[in-house]
Amino acid sequence: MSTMRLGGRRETFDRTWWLWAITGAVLALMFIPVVVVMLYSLNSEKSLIVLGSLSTRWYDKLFHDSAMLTSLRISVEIAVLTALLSTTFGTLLAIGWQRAWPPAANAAGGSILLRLVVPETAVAASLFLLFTQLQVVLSFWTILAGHVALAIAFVAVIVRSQLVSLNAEIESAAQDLGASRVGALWLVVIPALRPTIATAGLLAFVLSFDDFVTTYFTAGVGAQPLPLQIYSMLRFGVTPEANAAGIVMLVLTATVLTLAAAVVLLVKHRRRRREATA
Amino acid sequence: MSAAAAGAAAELVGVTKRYGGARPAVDGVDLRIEEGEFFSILGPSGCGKTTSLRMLGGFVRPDEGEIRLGGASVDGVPPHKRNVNTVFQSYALFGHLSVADNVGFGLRRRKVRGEEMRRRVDEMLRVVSLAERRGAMPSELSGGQQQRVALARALVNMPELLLLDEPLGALDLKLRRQMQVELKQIQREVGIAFAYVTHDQEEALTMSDRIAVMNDGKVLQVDTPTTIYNNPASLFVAQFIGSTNALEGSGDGATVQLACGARLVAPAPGTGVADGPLTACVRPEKVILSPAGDDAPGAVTGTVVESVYVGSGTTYKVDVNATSIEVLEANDSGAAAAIPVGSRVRVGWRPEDCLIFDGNGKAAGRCAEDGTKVPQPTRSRNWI
Repeated sequence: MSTMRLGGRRETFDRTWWLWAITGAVLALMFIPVVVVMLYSLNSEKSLIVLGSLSTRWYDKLFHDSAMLTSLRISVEIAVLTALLSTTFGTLLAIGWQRAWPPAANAAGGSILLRLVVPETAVAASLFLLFTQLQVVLSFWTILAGHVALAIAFVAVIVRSQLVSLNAEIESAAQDLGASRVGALWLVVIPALRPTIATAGLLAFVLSFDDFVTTYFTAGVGAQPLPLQIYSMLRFGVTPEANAAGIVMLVLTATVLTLAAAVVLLVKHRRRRREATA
Repeated sequence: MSAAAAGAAAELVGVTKRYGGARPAVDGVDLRIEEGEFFSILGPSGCGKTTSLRMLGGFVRPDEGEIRLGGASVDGVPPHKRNVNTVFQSYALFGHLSVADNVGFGLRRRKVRGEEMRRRVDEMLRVVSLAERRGAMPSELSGGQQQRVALARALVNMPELLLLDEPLGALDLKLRRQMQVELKQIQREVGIAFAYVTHDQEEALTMSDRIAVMNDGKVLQVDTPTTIYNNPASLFVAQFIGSTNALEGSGDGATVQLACGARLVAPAPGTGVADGPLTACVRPEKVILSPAGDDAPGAVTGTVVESVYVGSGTTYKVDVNATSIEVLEANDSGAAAAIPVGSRVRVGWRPEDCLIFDGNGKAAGRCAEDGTKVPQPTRSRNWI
């Protein structure tokens, strides 16, 4: 059988029924839990078996639960700060990694990559031990330190990969045109990396926002970030309020990502308009 | 010392640069680029031409010797403090800035702002014929346009010297030819000295006021394109610039016997310049073919083994006693019909078109007289 039509589009010969079935199964596995959670978060009944009528009572309850709201605020604060700190230092780390004295750079690079593969529990446990040994009181700031330590490695790896593929001559060109070395970095290299840095920052936000393991080991007493709060809520029995909280987290993450995409589109659009009017 | 430097845009004096290899990348180079001239540094890859350029730009520091710009030594002066600008091989345009902002980048660094900056940017964009694309982003431009932005971005700063590192290498042949002409025109218009690095001899011949030919880190010859082409100082230059027939032979001081059978009279008989092994060079377009048969004594004959029509002419490969000689016959009006492969032909040239190089590849002069005795080229020929 001919599988291609000359000059036409490719035939869908290879998409047999079982490929569709596997794809469907994977998608179902990914999204059915989300759909179920969403469904029950909108259920008027407290039961997780009986479906009653459509209701926002659990969202009402959630948004009047001051402990939950505090947790949400803490999570967002930590995630935003983690994104800012880890992109700043992660980008500097990536630049150093790319151009430091090779033996030092390779050693540093190796340890950064190692950070990605070492089980999070191991690092989180050692952070806990470190903080208690140094008699640092576990708090908001120890959580932030733990999250930055986690996210910075991701940022450094992402930014470096882009830095390596960047045309090295643009930096020489900037110097040639009168910029100092630092000036060239700031005026030309960082702007060229901006989309990558933004992407890395978003990843850092998401990593931090729903991180459980590091948070669990580095959190002190008092108000907890959202993942810990939801966990402790579920320990005393499953309540539909937790469903609502899960959906709120999902929506929040999706909103951040959508906003980011919108900003990228807006910048592109503005640029095009500027050219049209120039 | 500085008096001698007056009038030179840039000078390299006894400059050597080592990168740790067995031989220096640049080895005791002396070059002098005059104000307002189009100066090309030509050589095969690895000859040290780009290193020389980068030393002028301040990106590489020489191990020995001195670099002077406008008569003053610039030892240890970083790139951003030199009044020199570069057009990079990759153009190195700033992708996040518009064409106008790319061109204005250097002016901004020199605190040229506002109306003055706008005026100079627009003026330079006009020179490179890109005035209507001032708001475009580099990614929206064609290769040739990007090339011109890179040129404008460097020239707008009115440097003492513009460095160009194989700037046309990434363009296709037709665009490259067009840009060669444009570059030369722009250079005349702005009157800034250009130091142009290339491995393309045709490009260097087309554009340059003077050419420095480099090989193995050394400067072999600095001259005008005509002199370089017609009077190469060494066998390397003769073979690198254009194509040439390098014919092996040996001399006894008075006559020269080539392996292909031709006997020549030494350039300066009795002086011993043509003593021992040597090479005679004749450019393909200087070789004259005529029908064999009316063989004069000492005539050189061969067989046409290849004939390639190249539009403006025809190139032939003629086998003469196991030596291959390349011939280019112009396809001018009234030219004789192509010579069929397999024809017996007589091969000759004017004595003054034959250059002799000694065993070390050094130029030893032109033949005084020639056993190949050029017959009058005939328009109607009967090939055997």
